[in-house]
Amino acid sequence: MEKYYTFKIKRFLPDETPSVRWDEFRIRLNRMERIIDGLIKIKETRDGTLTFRKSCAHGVCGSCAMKINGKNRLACQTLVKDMPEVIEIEPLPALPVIKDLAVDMTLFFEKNDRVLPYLVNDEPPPERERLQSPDDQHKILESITCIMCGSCTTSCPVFWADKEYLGPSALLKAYRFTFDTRDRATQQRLEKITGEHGVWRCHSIFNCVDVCPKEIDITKHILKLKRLAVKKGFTGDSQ
Amino acid sequence: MRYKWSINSLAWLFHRITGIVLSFYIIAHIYVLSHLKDPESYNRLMGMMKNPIVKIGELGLFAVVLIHVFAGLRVTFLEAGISTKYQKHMAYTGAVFIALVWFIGAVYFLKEVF
Amino acid sequence: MEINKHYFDTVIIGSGLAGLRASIECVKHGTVAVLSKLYPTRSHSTAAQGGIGAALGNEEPDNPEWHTYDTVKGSDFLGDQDAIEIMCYDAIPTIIELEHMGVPFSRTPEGKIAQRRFGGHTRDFGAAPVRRACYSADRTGHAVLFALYEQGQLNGVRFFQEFQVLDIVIENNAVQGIITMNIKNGSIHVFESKALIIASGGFGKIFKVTSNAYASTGECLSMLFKQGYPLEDMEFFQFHPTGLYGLGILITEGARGEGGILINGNGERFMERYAPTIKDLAPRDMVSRAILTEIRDGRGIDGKDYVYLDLRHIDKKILEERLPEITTFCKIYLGIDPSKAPIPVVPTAHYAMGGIPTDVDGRVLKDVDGSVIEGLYAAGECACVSVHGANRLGCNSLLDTVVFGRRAGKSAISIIKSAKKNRVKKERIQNIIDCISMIKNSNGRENVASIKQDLQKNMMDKCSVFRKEEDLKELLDEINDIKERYKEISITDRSNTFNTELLDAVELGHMITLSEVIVSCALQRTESRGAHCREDYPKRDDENWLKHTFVFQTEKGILFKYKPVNITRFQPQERKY
Repeated sequence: MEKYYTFKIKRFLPDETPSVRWDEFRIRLNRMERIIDGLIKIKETRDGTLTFRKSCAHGVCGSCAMKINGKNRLACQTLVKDMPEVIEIEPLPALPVIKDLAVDMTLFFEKNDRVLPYLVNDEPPPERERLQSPDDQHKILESITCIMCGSCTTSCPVFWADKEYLGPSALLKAYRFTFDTRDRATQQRLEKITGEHGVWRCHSIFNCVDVCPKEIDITKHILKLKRLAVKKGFTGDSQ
Repeated sequence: MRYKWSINSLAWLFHRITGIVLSFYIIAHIYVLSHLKDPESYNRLMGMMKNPIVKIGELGLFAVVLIHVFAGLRVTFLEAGISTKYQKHMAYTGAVFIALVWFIGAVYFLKEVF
Repeated sequence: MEINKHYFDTVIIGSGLAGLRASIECVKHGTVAVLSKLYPTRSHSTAAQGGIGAALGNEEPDNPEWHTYDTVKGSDFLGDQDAIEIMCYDAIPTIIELEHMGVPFSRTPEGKIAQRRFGGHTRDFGAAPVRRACYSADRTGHAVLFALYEQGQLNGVRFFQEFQVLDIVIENNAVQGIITMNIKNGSIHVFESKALIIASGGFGKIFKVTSNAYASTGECLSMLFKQGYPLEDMEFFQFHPTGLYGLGILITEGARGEGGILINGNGERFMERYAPTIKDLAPRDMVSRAILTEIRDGRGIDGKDYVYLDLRHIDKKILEERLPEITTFCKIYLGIDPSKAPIPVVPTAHYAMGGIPTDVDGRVLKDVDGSVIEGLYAAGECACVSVHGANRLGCNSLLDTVVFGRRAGKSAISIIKSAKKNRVKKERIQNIIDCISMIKNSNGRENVASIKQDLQKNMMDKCSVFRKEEDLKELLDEINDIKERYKEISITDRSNTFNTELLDAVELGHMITLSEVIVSCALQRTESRGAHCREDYPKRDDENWLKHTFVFQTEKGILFKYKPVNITRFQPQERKY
């Protein structure tokens, strides 16, 4: 049940020269253990300077998103039994690296701020809860599952080429509110997402869907946003 | 940027590349057509076109057009409302179709030419 | 070393539900900064699955009176009943306000907030289980956390993410500020504020098998304790009965709420023997003890050290609709499909009932007489009001965080409006910088990871569900040993950039302090009540022990004082289900 695995990790240590290098560690892991367990073992027993983010270790917080064997994944949701013996680990692509596997997520998070990421409803609220049918709640069910791990946007070739592109995560957030029957800011939100770096830059590449740890079909939601925008007459002339 | 390719990202990549190739081809095509004004230049150009390299190029063009059309149809279907559940199916099926149609077309074409 | 100074009217440590709810409350009256050692949406509140309790009565008749009784009984009569009454009656407007803020609750066919059964929640004062937990599939914590974070952003709260708190500065019985480190570049940031709200969560990571995140290490409690301020009821730590075997990953009580049952190696639904009326929906401390007793008596699955949680008989549609996350956990981490195979589960360290003592408005108490520290507030898991007493009922923690987060925010407003002046002295800052340098540049021979592993294993073996005197005394000796070893630690990462090894070392020091506190408190309480089960004192002793433990650090060592339980509504009775 225990096997040797070779972890090839791309290091970035800003205080050293050279600051970029590849390190190889050969460690013994049980096949049901996760990549994050391997990284922790390396940090504890081989190299204490190895730096990576972690928190919940079971796929709900989104801290440990990184590129594993060429594809973005959560390190805590990837079991070594599903990996070959040599595992290449790098930080998320296209974002500035702070150290080793920890990237600066500011650019990713600020995209969310551009889509009015909160429920907007200025009507006086009823005494009890606002009613919403189960079917209406299902419309946003997938989009509320997003844990903002960053895997999707950093796997999108459009984002690689255009850092201003809103990206799958922010567009999914826009969907979550636009299609929430309790929200009243459809017009403003559509204006924000149909601009130059908005929803029209999605080319249905589906890289985001391939990597989402919550298995959300993000492109499907973006297509729904596009259809809504067309129905409401938005063509990209605003903002 | 080293990132794993998949059938869907390759479909987009080829759609893009064939699109660029076709844009250059259109310019070349219009240039050729502009020689339809008099019989002399027409015959001269048609003579040049009988060159085997051009014929191989036309086979390549055929592939480029097929790839662009099928990839484009796939994207159009998705945007028109066909469920995204089928995006990989459409990509694989499209690839098979392109291969088949190109091969059959290539056989007939080469028979005619050689 | 670069030192930056900031001033905010209110500073909140922790960006979970309690911290965020408090921030929304006081941002209307002054500037607010919320600090977190993670990015806000990564807070451990996001891992909460099952539900948030409120007697809305949307699915079947319910009453906040029954909710109060259930919580009092669930706490094994150690909960302060005035606080519990406030929480259970506040619950209804709280949930409705959350829904107005945009929380995407699951709905009933009529469009109202859907509710499910949960452990210990009954109707008619214990007659039968009642649907009281409002849920959003099995991602309730995530749903509420995101809505509160969004509202915080909308209202202009300033967030400082990936800042580690190193010291809480209290002088002349008033909060002066906090000293923190920006994890990304190692710079020191001092925040001076009129009000400080601590919402730093729990400390499950001191145990080996836990449902808690790596960030749940309880530094803030330790910082207050080391300065001589008390902690309350630290011996009460809840072990959630259904954690995935071998991993400790939480499988929500909501699974049993939807009909799941626990079976032992003989295929028997053993909870019928321990809690004849509500069976598998008994309070968590009783279920955990039941599971471990079955295992100890050799009735684990194939004689091994786990039992099964069986969801196979539940309608597949309900599993998909209401329990999708735990289904995913089982499939990914154990390779089993809960609709086809039973899930191996074992108790896992889950929730700290004890913590920083506060009154019902979130003001931190400095002694058993109710005197407060000016400007200091606490809410959420890190605080002890006490609403959970000796054992917490499921879906009451999410409620506790939002209700008391709001109350703490509200009571901070009076301090914000005052003309209080505060200063963090240079000496204090230099002291912290020196401590950090010492850890970074030390050349000892001990390794953070091995000390941590030993601490976690010992705490799990000797101070978890079942405790006895010899074990606890031995554990205290082992902790003393660990304290000596800690003085010899050294780390390999000497850089300033994102130095997580340094933070691990800082956290470990605080974890050792808290462990010593918990074991000492467990040793001195010679009775069994709620989650604190002493095999050598198996009965509940209301005559001698119907009181809260306040633990202080003094020059002469650890001192215990006691605070009487506030009993206003229900007289203590035997706790049978």
